[in-house]
Amino acid sequence: MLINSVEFLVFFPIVLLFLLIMPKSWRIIWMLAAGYFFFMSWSPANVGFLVFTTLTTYFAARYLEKKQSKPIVAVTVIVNIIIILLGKYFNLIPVPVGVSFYTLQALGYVIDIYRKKTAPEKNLLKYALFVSFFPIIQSGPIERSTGLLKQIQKYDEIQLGDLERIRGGLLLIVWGLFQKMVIADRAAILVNKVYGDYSAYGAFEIIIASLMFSVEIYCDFGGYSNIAIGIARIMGFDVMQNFRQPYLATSIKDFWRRWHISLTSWLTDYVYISLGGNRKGQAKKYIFIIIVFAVSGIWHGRAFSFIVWGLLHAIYQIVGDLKTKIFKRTADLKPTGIVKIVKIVVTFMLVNFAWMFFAASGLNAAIDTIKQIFKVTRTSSIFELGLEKGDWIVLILAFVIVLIVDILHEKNISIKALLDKNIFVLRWIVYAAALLVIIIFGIYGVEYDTATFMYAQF
Amino acid sequence: MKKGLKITISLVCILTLLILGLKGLRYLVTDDTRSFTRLMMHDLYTQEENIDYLFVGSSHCYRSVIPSVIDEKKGGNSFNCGSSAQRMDGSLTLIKEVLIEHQPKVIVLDIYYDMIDTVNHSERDQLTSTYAIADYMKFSWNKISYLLNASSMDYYTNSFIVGRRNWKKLYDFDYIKSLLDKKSSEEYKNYVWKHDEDDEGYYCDRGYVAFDGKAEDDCSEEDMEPIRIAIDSFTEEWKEELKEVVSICRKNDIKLIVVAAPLPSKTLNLIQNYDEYVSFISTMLKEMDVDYYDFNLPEYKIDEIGDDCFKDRDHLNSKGAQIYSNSLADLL
Repeated sequence: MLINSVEFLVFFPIVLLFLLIMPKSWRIIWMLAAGYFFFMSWSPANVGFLVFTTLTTYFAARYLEKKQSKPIVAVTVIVNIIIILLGKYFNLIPVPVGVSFYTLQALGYVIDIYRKKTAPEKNLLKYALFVSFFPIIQSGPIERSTGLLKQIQKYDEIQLGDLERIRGGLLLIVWGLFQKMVIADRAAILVNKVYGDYSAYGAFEIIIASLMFSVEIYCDFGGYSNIAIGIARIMGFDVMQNFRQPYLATSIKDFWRRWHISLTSWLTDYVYISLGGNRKGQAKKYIFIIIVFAVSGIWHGRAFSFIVWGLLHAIYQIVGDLKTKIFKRTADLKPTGIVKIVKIVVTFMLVNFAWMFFAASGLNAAIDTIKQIFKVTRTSSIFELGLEKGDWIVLILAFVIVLIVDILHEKNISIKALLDKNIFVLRWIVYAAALLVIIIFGIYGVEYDTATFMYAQF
Repeated sequence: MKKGLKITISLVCILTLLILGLKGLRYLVTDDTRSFTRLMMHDLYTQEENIDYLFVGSSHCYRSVIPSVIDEKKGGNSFNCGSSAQRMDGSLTLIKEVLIEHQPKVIVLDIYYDMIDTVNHSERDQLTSTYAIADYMKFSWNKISYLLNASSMDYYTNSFIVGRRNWKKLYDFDYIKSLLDKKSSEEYKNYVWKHDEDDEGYYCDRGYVAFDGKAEDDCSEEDMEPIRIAIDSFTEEWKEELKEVVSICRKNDIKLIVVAAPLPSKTLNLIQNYDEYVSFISTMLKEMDVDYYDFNLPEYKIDEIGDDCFKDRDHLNSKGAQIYSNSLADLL
């Protein structure tokens, strides 16, 4: 069950309705049941893996509460990582949906307990809900024990049904659906066509497809995150932000503060800092950066191209860091005006180039695609790449809207606050218009199979 | 403002705006200016007299049965609810729709072998014939259940949001301009058929569609592929729907007759297992205690219907419809 599917459109209101009317003490069990139902809608047989991760991390944390033990942490991490490896990298077991997300979330909890950053949750049901929380189990954000778990612990005390919270959540859902269904799934048509048969195309088509992949992956994953955050918000939870205008980053380092924030911060806290972070000298710092980005690449998939993608970002970061050291005087200045725009464009181009390894089906395909750019100039017209004139108009206009919203957010102008200033009726006209745009221009139904969220595969 | 009232107003606002927006889109991009069914359904909903004789079925029905001829012979008011490629679920839905306002004495169900479902509704990948009916039905549970049962979930958005099927036409300004011109004509507004040179027929009255020409004799039998009716593939859903038609008629004290309109001899000769098919249908209907009149069998064949009574390889023309309607009236 995808969270932008008709099935979810039935599932979520039922979950919410009962949540609103049931006694507060039943909420945890109800949400847990909903989480497991959602998980099992993908593959009922895989529920054992979710239970395994929940129980191993729960009991490890209970043990660590009594006795600090590195071996227990190591064993817990290894057995759970083995599941990911066996499923995703060796195809020896079926891959449970969201395994890379809920496993990191649960392991982060165990490490937090070991570091005494948080107290272990004694109630197994509450902990199980933390691991199986359905809005985020499929593709994150990867939550923390200090965030989501703390809210779950007090879930039977809070008042649900706050209209402002519901409206805010609905707005995020609509915005996420717009990003996913109007933009990402439309861009995916072109990207899949060109990357699926790259030898038939030249520089013109491949560059367009690569730009569109940048659009697709942002709106797909960002869209999913917004929907997930919106759903959680309606149910009374505040889930961490996962994206913060990533394509307005002025450097690669800045990009990683804005892109997939929950994974970046997880890798920083539990891998980079565990390795030694900045404390062990410049050379080791760079080695740790390479390791972290390699891990990030491996986490994304077994294709070697993901590792190359990660390593490219590591190189970008290291070069960026060296450059900062060399040009220390100017590096401290906050870029403005044309310099800022140039930095944004250069950063985007570097990110975009790295995405080519992400978009291709493997390392060889990625290299061949890049070679193809230099071999052939152009083989087809822009309207022969799977998108008709109408699709292009929708795609460009919709992405311009995303960019405008990102720029406004960058300037700390909230769209919701802007809408709130308007009179009641005008506000609802905007909401209805947004829904209409999704219904009319969204890619769904029989013309095109609902694309799964890209990050559900990781 | 109280919380409940605020929620209600918000929901009403958003729903109204959504419905208006979607209706606007449908008007802008959906070309129904040449739709026979639009006129037929309008006629159906505006019938003041009770419908005494109701005819349902595919184009073999709406091109073959002239209500005015039936009226003349039988008295009362008859109505032809045939529609393009109408399936059994379509016939069943239309019968239910008619029964909301009318109490027919007789229902004549035309069964054409090629319109019998050989795939389950959930496997359908073509819903044009469903939309031909549903798009012009009033909003009701009958319409909703028809659309829900007609296909798999994948098609629901196209089924319920008519304008979405053609959204790409939004960028074709010439198309929209020409469509708006057509829709602003008095004929369109008043549900009157506007004659066109390329017409494959013209809407006459109460569902009947006439074609005054005759079949071009440009195809020899050798050019036509032999036909084998896939009797074994007829779905259980189709049989159940037929049973429901029978049951509804029985419950409402309506006489049900099943017919098969005449086909050209050339077409009949190509069907390799027509006798087997007739035997299957007859046996099934006999078990349900329903009379079956197949006008392609020697015992019911109408001698006056010759090759000049057809518009093509399948359908009667005006001359054929006149003769057939007269004969059909004698059976009622």
